[in-house]
Amino acid sequence: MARRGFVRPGLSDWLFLALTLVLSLALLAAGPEARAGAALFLGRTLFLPFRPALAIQPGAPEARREILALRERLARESLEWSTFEETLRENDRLRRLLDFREQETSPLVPAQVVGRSLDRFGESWLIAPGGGAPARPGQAVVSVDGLVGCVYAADGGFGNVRTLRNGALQVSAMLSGTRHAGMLHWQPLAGGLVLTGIPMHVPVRRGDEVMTSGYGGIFPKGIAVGEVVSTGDDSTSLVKRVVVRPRTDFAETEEVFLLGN
Amino acid sequence: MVCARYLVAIFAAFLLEGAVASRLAVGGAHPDLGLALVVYAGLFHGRPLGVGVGFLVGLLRGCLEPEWFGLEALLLPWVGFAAGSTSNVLNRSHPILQGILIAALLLLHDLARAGVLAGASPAGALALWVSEAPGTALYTALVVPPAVLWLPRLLAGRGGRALR
Repeated sequence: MARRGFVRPGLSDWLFLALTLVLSLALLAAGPEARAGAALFLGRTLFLPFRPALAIQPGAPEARREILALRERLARESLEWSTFEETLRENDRLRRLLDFREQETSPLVPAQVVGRSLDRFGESWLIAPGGGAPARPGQAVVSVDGLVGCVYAADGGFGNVRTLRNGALQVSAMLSGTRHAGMLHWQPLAGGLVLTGIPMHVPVRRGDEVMTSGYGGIFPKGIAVGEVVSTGDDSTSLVKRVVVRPRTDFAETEEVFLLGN
Repeated sequence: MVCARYLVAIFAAFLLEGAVASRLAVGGAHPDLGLALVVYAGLFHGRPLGVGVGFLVGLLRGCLEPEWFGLEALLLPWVGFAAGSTSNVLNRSHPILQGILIAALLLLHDLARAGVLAGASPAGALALWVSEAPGTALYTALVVPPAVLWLPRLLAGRGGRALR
């Protein structure tokens, strides 16, 4: 039979709790770099033994390799197509630059998503690049559908990625039709991914494409981000607040690509 | 033996959260398996195991959030401690009570977390909490207890059953 009634915490209960609290506070008190290093070391140590199991589908290694190659090709094609469309628009607007040198596409390094934080306050992933290529902080991460996010910490071949659904990540993006650029960031209270800084007079319609603007130097220009689902006024009423649906399905994506290694 | 089972369960919950839970998202909310495991550990095995499991789950979560590494390891032991404190008060085998406890502790945990993340802005913390926590709490409370009805036997072992 169960004993009923509240049992006061004993000394050992409090001591054990205090021990975990002291350890946690020591981690939090360490500098950001030390914290990131400790987190990546622990992640690498825990995930490394499981990496082969995560990477290989039993009985179908050939098929998996082929799928990875095809996905990489699809991502490259998708990126090149975005770049091509962008170039066409540029040529149309800027005839004097018709002989402008064709924009080179960055090399793509495939990487596998080996861990996901489903943190309600900011999503981040742990990725393992293939072929021994190291991830570097500041690298853009894309999927076959479009932009995923950016590497913000890396160690020992693993990289930690802030996805678009992380409020700490800000991306300079623009409307592909009107060419107006703004800042894109995750605001759950405002409906999700929000593009701010678009002037009120700019016509924005549902379904308009949003892509990276290339400003800031991290994300190359022309990577598809998503499409407009709704618009509204900012609290200042000087600029629009555009809600964007990302192209990437963050729940289903298992392979991503690092740009510009 | 119980500790070994929980170590396996912690890692399994962590992998499940990454592999499966993200596909079960409804309106942006996912079942929080890690927190539910901490609650079960405290509820069925008392404060020390709840605190320990909370700390380990927090450390694992921290691997994916280097920026706040240590924050979850700070908060989740309290969840285990609180769940352990209800161990002898609640009818812990009752799935509805389990669901209510999970939801309540998840809301408190998220409130504390939102408070830390929002810094000196109580209004911002409250807004963040209101937008993110209730959906997840409801989802976790509805999904996890029925799904783990079989777990108490597996995890509690002989000692756990004797306490009931």
